[in-house]
Amino acid sequence: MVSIRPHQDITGNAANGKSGIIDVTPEGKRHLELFLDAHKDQVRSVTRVDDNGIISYTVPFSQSIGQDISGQKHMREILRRHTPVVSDVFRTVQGFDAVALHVPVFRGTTFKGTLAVVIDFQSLAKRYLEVIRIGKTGYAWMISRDGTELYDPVPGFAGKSVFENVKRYPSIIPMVQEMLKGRQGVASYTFDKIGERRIAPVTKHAVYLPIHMGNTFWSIAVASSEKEMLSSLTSFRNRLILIVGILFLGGVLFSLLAAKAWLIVGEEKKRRQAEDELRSSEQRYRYLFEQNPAPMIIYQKGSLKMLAMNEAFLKHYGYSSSEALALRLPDLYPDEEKEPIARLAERLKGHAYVGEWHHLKSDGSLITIVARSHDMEYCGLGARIAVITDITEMKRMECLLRESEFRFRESMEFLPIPISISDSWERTVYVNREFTQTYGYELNDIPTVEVWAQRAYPDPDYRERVFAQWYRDVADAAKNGSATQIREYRVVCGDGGSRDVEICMRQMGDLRVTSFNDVTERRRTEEELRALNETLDQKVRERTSELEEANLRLQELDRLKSTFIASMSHELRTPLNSIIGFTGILLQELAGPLNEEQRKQLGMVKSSSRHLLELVTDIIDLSKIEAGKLIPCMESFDLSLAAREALETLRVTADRKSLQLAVETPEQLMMESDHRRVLQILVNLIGNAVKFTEKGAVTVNVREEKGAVRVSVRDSGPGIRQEDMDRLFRFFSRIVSEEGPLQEGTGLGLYLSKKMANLLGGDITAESEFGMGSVFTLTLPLRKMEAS
Amino acid sequence: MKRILVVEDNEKNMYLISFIIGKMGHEAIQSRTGEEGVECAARERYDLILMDIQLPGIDGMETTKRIRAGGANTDVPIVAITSYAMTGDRERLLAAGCNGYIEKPINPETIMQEISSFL
Repeated sequence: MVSIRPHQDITGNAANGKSGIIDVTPEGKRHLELFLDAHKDQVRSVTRVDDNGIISYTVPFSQSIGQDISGQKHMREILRRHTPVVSDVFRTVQGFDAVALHVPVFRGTTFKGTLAVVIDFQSLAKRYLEVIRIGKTGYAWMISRDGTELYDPVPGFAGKSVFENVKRYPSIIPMVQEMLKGRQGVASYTFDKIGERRIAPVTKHAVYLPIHMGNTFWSIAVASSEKEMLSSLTSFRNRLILIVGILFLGGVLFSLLAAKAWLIVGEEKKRRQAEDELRSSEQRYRYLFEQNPAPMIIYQKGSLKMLAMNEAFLKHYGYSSSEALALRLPDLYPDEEKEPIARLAERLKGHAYVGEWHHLKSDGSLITIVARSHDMEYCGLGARIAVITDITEMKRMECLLRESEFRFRESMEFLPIPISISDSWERTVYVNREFTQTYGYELNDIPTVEVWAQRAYPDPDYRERVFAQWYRDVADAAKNGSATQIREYRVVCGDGGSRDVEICMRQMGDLRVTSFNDVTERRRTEEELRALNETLDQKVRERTSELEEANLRLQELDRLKSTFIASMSHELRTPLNSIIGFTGILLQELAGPLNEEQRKQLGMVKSSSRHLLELVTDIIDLSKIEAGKLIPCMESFDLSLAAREALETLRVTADRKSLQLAVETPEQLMMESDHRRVLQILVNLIGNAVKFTEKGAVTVNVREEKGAVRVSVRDSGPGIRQEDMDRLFRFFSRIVSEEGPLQEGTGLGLYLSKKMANLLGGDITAESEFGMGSVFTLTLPLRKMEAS
Repeated sequence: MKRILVVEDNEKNMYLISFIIGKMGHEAIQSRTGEEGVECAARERYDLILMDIQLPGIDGMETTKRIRAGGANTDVPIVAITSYAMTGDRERLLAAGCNGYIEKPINPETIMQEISSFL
């Protein structure tokens, strides 16, 4: 897109002389005249129009001042929109084609009319468009938005309507229509006449594009004939083909030359490389010689003069370079070897090893050497190069090694363990004295491991097994870097006897050192010990089984006892129950009336029977306690109540003796224990008290003390002698009172009560002073304790 | 006159109990084993059952359970007769379905009171 702003400098100047131009003062008028003067080749007039569209001032056609031009199309537009406008091309009164450019003039924001310049369009177009010519027949033409041809090189076309001009060339019309829509593009058209004259048909190609100018646009087209374009293209093509051909030929030529040059360069490079290599190889070899850590010398053949020697030689022998170069080969040798080496050196040819010799260092010390030498050419002279190895130290080491080997052999020899050494080819290289003494084999008898195996393990099956095990062990040992596992084999000796041997091998470098520990005696002793142990074991087993048997018999007896007691309890009690039952019936006179004597005797029967029943019951209880079969039945109950109940069961007996029975208890004392057993104990204790007391009182005291309950039964009986106190709680022990009558009783009661108290986690204690009565105290835990 | 089933293996005890029942003016039906007792109880209803606990064959407790399990006497009072009853035994008796118990040796006075209380 192209946009032109013609006379930009005018508007710029207008702005500069703004106030004068706005008000059309004389200064403003002069300003406009000056401007016109400066641009008169392009600008035909400068005009100031007021806001009503009336020309207020114009140069140079001053007769037009006061003329109303508000009716013109572009004037209407600028008066309405106050933006710059360009007029269409119009024919001026002076008779030339012109366009007018109007810019609005403002004071502040108030529109004050326009300032316009009128330009001679033809001269402008000529100036710019005529130069747009392509080749000989190409040209440019331009139309305004309304279709007026602004410029056309065809004479008479400018200023006319484009449609009129092209009506004879219908192929142009579509392009023109596109141009008038303000579009940009390319098109082709054909025409076959110019004016009325017919010509050969010409095809033209055109480019068109709009030029926008504020309110309007002009469309410009540039056209060129196809023929001309083609001819120029063809000529260009031909020229191009020629150039390419020449380039190709030149290329081939160049390639040939280049190849040749490259080859020459390559050759040169290779030659240089070879030279370089040679140089560096020489360097290397010199370096190899100079810096070689082995002493090296070069001496001339024949004269045996020293030609060169390396750093290592100088350093090792202690010569300076000049000193060394002054020597002859034999000078290095001690006197007795000078002659032989000279003779030998004369004969040396090719590569030679001269064996062990001696050299003198500069300080006169003697060293042992070996040397290798071979022929060479040195600076054009026949020479030999020799590499010297100082073996002085090695010899010394060898000597030491021999010495140490001797010592090793010596220590092996007197070691009290049989030892053999074999090499990596399984040849026996050594057996010590202990080995020979123990097994009767000299080294000569068993030159190889194979021979040893055949003699030591003559049975082929056994030998097979030994070998299999042995090589497994050797492999394992090699893997772990350890000695083989110690294993016992039976070895047949040189004299035919056999021994038990623990064999163990350790690899030491190439050698295998094997120890053969004779354990025959040890095994014999062990065997004897084992036999002894077995006898002992047998005896222990016998004894144990006897004991077990005895134990079983005892257990059986115990079981029998328990069964006996259980059945006895039933068997004894059943008839007793009958006796007591029937006695009861008789005494109740249910079977008929009794006389006094009968009643008395039946009373005795009943009392004896009850006594017997108690005895039986006590014995059963005791046996149960002792067998651990009496399991307390724990429950919560009121001890105060239990004490009162126990007291009541004995009231009849007490009343008969006129004894006072008293109870001192809290209102209630809940405890956790076996109710029935506690009651049984209390009845027993109170019963005893009542039984042994003839006059006075029996007092029962119940109290709680530190998580325990205590029931004391105090009587005013005869008391117990101190010496009898110990026997009090014994089985079947009865304290005989000298004063009182022998009391009826089982002798079990107190013993059983104490056992039961213990079972319930408590105890019974007694205090007494002879003649002053006794106190028996039952102590029980208030709450159930863990199984005691 | 009430009918009382007595299950008791001991001949002398059976005589003793039957004698007392007879003296009280009631009828004692005698059964010597637990099995026989269960059969009797299945056949007819009694006013009271006196049950010895230590019996050959099934014991008194098992017999009680069977009588309670079905038949004509599921709700008839059963009084156990036991020697030397322990606290635990008493509870087991009640759990088996007994309504009371009498301890041996039998005191005529006690047994008469016990029988009267259930009739």
